Order: sequence, then C-alpha cells, then structure tokens
Amino acid sequence: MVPSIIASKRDWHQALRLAPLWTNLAIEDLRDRYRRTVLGISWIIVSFALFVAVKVVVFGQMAATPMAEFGLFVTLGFGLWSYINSMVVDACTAYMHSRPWILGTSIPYPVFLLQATLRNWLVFGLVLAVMAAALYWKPTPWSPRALYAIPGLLIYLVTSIWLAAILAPLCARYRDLYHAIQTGMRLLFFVTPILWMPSISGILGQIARLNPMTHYIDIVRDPLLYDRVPAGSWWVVLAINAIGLVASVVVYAATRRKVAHWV
Amino acid sequence: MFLSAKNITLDFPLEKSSDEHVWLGTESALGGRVCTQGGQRYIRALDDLSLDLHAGDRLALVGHNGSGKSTLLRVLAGIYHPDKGSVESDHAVSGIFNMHLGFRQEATGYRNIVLKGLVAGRSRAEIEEALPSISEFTGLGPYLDMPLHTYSQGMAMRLAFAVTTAFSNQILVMDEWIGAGDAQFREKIVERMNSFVNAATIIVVASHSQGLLRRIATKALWLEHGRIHRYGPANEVLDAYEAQTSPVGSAIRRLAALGTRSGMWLPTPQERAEAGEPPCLAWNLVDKLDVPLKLCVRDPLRSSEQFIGNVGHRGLWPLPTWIRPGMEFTLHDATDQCEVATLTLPEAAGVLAGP
Repeated sequence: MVPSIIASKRDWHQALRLAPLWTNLAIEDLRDRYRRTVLGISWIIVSFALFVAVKVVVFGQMAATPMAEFGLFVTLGFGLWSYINSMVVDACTAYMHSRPWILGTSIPYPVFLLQATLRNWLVFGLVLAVMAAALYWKPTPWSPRALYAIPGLLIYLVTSIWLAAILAPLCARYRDLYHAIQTGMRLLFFVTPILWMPSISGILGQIARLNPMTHYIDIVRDPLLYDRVPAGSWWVVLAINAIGLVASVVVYAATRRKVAHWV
Repeated sequence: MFLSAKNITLDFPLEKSSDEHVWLGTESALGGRVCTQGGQRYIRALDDLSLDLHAGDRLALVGHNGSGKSTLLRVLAGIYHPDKGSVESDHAVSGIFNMHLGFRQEATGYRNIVLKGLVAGRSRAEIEEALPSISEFTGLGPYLDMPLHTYSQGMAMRLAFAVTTAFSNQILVMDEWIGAGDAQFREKIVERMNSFVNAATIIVVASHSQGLLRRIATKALWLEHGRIHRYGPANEVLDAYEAQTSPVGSAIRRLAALGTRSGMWLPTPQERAEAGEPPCLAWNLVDKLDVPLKLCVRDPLRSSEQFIGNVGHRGLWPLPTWIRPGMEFTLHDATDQCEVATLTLPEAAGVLAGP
C-alpha cells in the first residue's frame, strides 16, 4: 500500500504540473458542446434562467413563502444542485470517457479527474453569475456574513476532486454503480429542500436533516439568503470531507494499476 | 540511455461467464494462455518477459494476433502496470498507439497542434517554436485555420503524423503506426521516419509490414503466447518468422532449398525432388519487396483470366490439376495493375510430372 501511495502522490504532482493540458481539454469539451450554435456558452445562462423562472412560477403558487424569498431560495438551491448533480455524474464517467486516452497515453489519471472538475466549474461559473444577479432581489439586508458562502464553495471544489477520485475508478470497474448513482441523484433531488422549504412539515424537515445534500446546499445558500452560518451543516460537511479524503487516497492508490484494464 | 524490462508478467482477469465450457480447456494458437489461480481465471498476456535496450537499438516486435505485442508496448509505455517485474528507463517514453487520439473535429488544425503538444507534456513556448516546421511538413497551408472536420482523411493523417512525430520523446514505442494513407504519402512518411528514427534513440515498433520492419529495425523479438519465442538480430528473426507464418510458409522454406534464383520459373523435377514438392510455380522478385502482388492464370484458348490470390515477392504455388500446357501465369502489381512477370507453361514439358 505504501509504494502505491507514493506512486499516487507522484501522479497527482505530475498532473498538477500538466495544468495547461487539463485546462485546455476542459475548455475544448465545453467548446465542442456549443460549437456552431449562435448563443454559444450563453446557452448555459439562458437554460438555467428559464428553468428557474418556470420552477419559481409553478412551485411558487404552492409555497406559503413570499415570492421574492421563494424565488431566490429556488434559484440558489437549484444552481448549487445543478452543479452537484452534473459533477457527481461526470465524476462517474471521468475514466470511462477518457478510455482512448487511458489506453493510448501514459498521462497520469488525475488529469482526467481535474479535467472533469474544471469543466463543471466553468459551467458553474456562469450559473453562479445568474445566481449573483438574482441576489439583486434579495428581500433581507446584506451583512458580511454572506461572505461565508465563499469557503462553502471551496468545500464544493475539494469534495468534487476526492469524489471523482473515488467514483471514476469504481464506476469503471462496476458499471452498475454509474446507473445506480444517476438514479439515486434523481431521487435525491426531491428529498433535498430546493423546491420546497424544510419548515413546511415536520417529516420533510426530518428527511432534509438526514440528507447530506441539504447540508451542502445550506452552507452556501444560508449565508447568502438568511445571513446565517449553519454550524451544524458545516460540521456534517467537514466530517464527510475528512472521511472522503481518506477514502479517496485509499481508492486511488488501490485502483491506479488496474484502471487501464477496467475502462 | 536504456529501456529495460525485467521478468514482466501481466494478467488480464476474466469476468465469470455462463458459457465457460464452450472454450475451457481448448488451447488456441492465438492469444495468451488461460490460467486459473484461486478460482479466478485470467489470461496471461505476458509471461516472464525480459529485454534490455540501449541507445541506437530499434526493436521490431512480431507475432500472431494476440501474441502480446500491443500489451508489451503498452507496458513499456507505462500504460499497463505489470503484475510482476518492472520496467525501467532513464528518459521519458513516448507511446504512439493511435495517432488521431485527442484530435478535436471541431477545432482548427492549429488548435489541434497545440492540444497535441500539451498532451505530449510540452510547454506553450515549445509548441509555438515547433509550429512552423509542423505546418511546413503537413503542406496544409491555409487549411490549418479551418476546422478538422473539413479535412479529407488523408489530410487529417498528414496532420496527425506531423504532430505526433514532432512531439515525440527519445524513447519511442509504436504500434502499427504506418496505417493507411496513399502511396505517395506513405513514401513521405518513410522519408520522415528516417529522420524521426534518427532523432529518437530507442525505438520499439510492432507492425505486420515485414518490409518496413526490415528497413528500420536492428533487433527483432518474436512473441508467442506472451513469451519470447526468438530474440536476436532483425534479419535472422524476421526471416524465421516469415518462413513460419507466410501463407505458403512451408513452401517458402522449401523454396530456399531451390536456390537463390530470381524471376518466375518452373522448378524442374530434379530441383523439386530435393524439396519434395509437387509440380509448382516459383517466383522470387527481389525488386518487389513489400509490394502487394496478384497471381493470375490466363487461358488463351478460352481467353479467360483467373485470379489466384494475393502473394508476396517470393513464393511457390503448387499447380492444381486443371492447369494445362499453354496457360499463362502472370504476376501483377496490385497497386498499379502493371504486369511484373509472366510465364507460359510449355507444351510437353516435364513440369507437370510428379517428382
């Protein structure tokens, strides 16, 4: 195990030095997706804004909360969720989609994990811009506590990387896992307080507390919307990261020699 | 400078399948050995293989399909990690397995050059420096500003080859890199290969093109079932391999017994008696090395021509019973259809008599 961990460290070190490579690959991935379109990457903004608008109008009818607060609640929650969801799904396919690369070059594997993470952050950046614009309608006054959203976003970055290091090899080995996770994420969306407020019913509040996604969303949404730093959620998220980081070191080191056979 | 492999063994685990009995226990001439250890079945792709290469060595890998050539190349390039043994080198190893890897159809030629340079671990400055010579070699001019999907296959091939060779390291392992491409470009590639071959100081190449391997390799390794079957000077190993594997393999060995004659001829019963051959047609066109040839039989009485098969530059063809005196044998160059040799079976000759 120890030699594997040393080799893993070398992989990550090399991959970080190859930053221009994964940056360019991530940009090309995005360019490929919107090439030959008139709107280009503004499609990300347009589709997110429209999606949120419709959700606010439809679900706002059923919510007891004032429209401005509910609208912002949905915009922030859904923006964060869309990043989490696409990052988790991309983390699963990071190795599988790079199959020709893994079998054709000796590029260290973290390059593909970082490429997937950066690609999602590029999209997330645009979504964050929409979220920031939506804060114009914030009903409550601003305070410096809103800045706690920034370490919250940093946690997103850290989680993305270790999660990719765990999910990419495991999904390449056990193909069912990818479908299970995709399905699981779809279900998880409905038990996460994004389209509904946890305060509307006791049972829903209970479910929300047990759902780690709630805590991930809260560490960014609460400081921005309610001027509140959710200490409980922070502890949950930090604990998940501590366990996840250790697990990712073990999974990466244990799988790095086998990935080329699995993809 | 060195590239060495010490006792490398590589296994591919097999998934449990429901119809195991279909092939369990059958020994195939192709592929690695199927082994079982602790209930887990696996294919032993490389079996305790060692080699040691130094500056100036150019190793050709030959062997059946599935004999482990590509696997060995990938182990040397650091893509597969061996289960036992180790690979060591004092310089970075470049593997060329798929020249089109990493090409973006929607990006321009220039952008693709930059991306491929980054893949090879070059800095932006190094890539900028290499740009003029790459664009010159491709001869694509203004096309480099257009997206790759507007290129013909041949043009994409030019770009791929130019970029791949420009960003390669001093130790190079390549798999069937010559690929397709038109005859003209093929010559250009070979020309470029010479400088390329000189630039890199250790080369390991696997190819089914014997002629090409003979032109660049100094050593050859013949793999069978993931093991070294023969390892030595290129010509020796390649001769042995060719003799065993060519479609008329045994005939070629016997052809060697017929002497070093050139052209197309009918061995006399005495000549054949030594080799123990039935009546046959022999040819040896030394100047047509590595040119695909077609053997045909023309019947002037019925003014028809029958295609017999694609053949190499030397060979023997046992005459079937329908061959009659007066029939004409021709060898065509398969690429330009030119006749390169003809021979008419004479009347009343003893060639049709058995030995």
